[in-house]
Amino acid sequence: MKIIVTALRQEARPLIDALGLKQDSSSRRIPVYTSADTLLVISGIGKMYAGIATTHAVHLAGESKDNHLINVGMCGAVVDQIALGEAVTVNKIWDHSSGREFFPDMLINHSLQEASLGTFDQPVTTANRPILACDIVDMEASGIFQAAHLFMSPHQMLFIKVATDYLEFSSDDYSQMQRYYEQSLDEWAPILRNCEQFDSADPVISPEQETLLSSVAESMRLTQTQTHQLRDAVTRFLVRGGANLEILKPNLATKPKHKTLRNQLFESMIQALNK
Amino acid sequence: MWHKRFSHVYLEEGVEKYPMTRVILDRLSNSKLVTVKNYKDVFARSGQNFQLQKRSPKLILARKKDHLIYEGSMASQDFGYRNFYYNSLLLNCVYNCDYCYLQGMYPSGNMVVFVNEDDFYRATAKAIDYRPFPQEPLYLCISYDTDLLAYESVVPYTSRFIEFTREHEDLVIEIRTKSANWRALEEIVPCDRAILAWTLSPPEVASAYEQLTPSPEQRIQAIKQCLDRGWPVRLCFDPVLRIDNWEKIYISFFKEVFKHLPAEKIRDVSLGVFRMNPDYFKRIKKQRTDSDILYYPFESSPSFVSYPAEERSQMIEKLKDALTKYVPAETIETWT
Repeated sequence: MKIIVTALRQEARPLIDALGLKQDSSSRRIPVYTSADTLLVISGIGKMYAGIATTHAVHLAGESKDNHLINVGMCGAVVDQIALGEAVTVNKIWDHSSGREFFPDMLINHSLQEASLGTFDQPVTTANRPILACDIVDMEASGIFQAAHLFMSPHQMLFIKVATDYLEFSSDDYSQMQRYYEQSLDEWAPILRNCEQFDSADPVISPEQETLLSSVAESMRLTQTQTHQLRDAVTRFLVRGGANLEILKPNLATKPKHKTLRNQLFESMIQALNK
Repeated sequence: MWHKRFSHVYLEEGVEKYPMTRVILDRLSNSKLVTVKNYKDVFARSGQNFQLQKRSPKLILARKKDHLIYEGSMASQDFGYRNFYYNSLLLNCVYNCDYCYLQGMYPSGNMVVFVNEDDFYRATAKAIDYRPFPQEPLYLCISYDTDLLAYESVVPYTSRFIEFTREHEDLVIEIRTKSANWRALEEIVPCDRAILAWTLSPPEVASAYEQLTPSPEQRIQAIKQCLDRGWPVRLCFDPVLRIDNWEKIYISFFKEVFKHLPAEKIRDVSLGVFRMNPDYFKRIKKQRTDSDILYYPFESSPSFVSYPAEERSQMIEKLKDALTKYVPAETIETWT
């Protein structure tokens, strides 16, 4: 599942349209939009709200190694090397108030310029520029990273920011900022559509084999420990090239009447799997 | 799609002042630089995926603040040296062998280079001065948790440590490697106290379980070059894996090795079966189910996981016997 977090409705709207997302009316306080493979959440401004919305989104999507969390939004550019309307990926997040730093894994080359980002509790102005140890600024990313990292790995996170100002703007500039953001969409929206499935290997034990294992454990009245040991032995057997679990099937009909017999049968089953 | 290896270099605060940093950055001039307060903020993050990171590893330059030298580990052979030590100049390896304990030891597939080399030299010099057995040299393994020679073109630690060794008569170093990078040593005068220890595995093992490494044939050629130039060379058939037909495969590999290498020039041989710290082993198995050799019905003791004792003895006995056709038994150090 792709989990997209934006702070503002204006940042979400072009994505909702481009990805054909529908509002989930059951989520009232935190706006959520979904499709079969995407869940978008609008957090509101600030890292606290961003962290809460991220947690809410992961909860709705369900924890999975296949999840991708993408934070997209507008940002202020600190350095002149980043042009207005340019989209960048973030390789470092610096939380200004705590001083902590966070690092998403940079495994995939998205062909966007990279930048370090500072997350601030208040809007940053040009007066702050000399003390800023970052290329761009926002008010959410550190909260999103910290919340998401409770549920996923750093390689599952991607932060895309579009520079819409140089830390100097008034309410009159909002429409121009929005235009910068929307015009950059073609540059980075394909990344959202083509998120790589990093870790999609099938489980070693198939669902049918899991059912067989449970049935054997039940019919043989295996203890919890023995059930775990059997599972380990089956995993070993399959990873080492064992084709199927036919050798377990005779045990389905076995209902040992006492512990000693059960333990003997269990040992011979493990030995057969270990061969 | 994937970023190239070392597309990013993370610089811990303060490392800019070390000459080694400049050397490395000059050699990786196309990499993106990212500053970091403490290298552990990148290297030791929770939830990292070692194998995915190995597909696009990053380099982290840091300063090692303590533990600049360690006492030797019981899982390693000391070759009779009682003053047995090792150090960690780099964390992690450019290669990615299925049986490697680093997957369980480190939380990250990225590589750390400690650039404060003078601190390592000072710590080593001090350890030489205060070694417990002053009549014997200090034996230091400098390439345990990494492969230094493989990375010499970017981090020239091997050559520099050899020069340091040359200046310290009571120091013997071991440089363990799977690299074929003999050219990195071409300009260096051989030092009889710098042992080049090559890990060799049969082609059947190397191609299946030693990702990214040079072929055994390339390694043998590299060894030959170094022997011809007069370097002391150790051959490490370690870890021996109990694959199908292991006995036949390893014995015929020994024959192949000594067909190309003059046995009388080999300083000594190390022979050991696969073994691993149980905690590391458990961590690796949680991460990967793609390698059959990790799923052998091993025997576990509090200090290591390995093949059952009887199988271990059988493997060592048969293979040591086979090796004695080429080298004297007293030059073979075994681990069972």
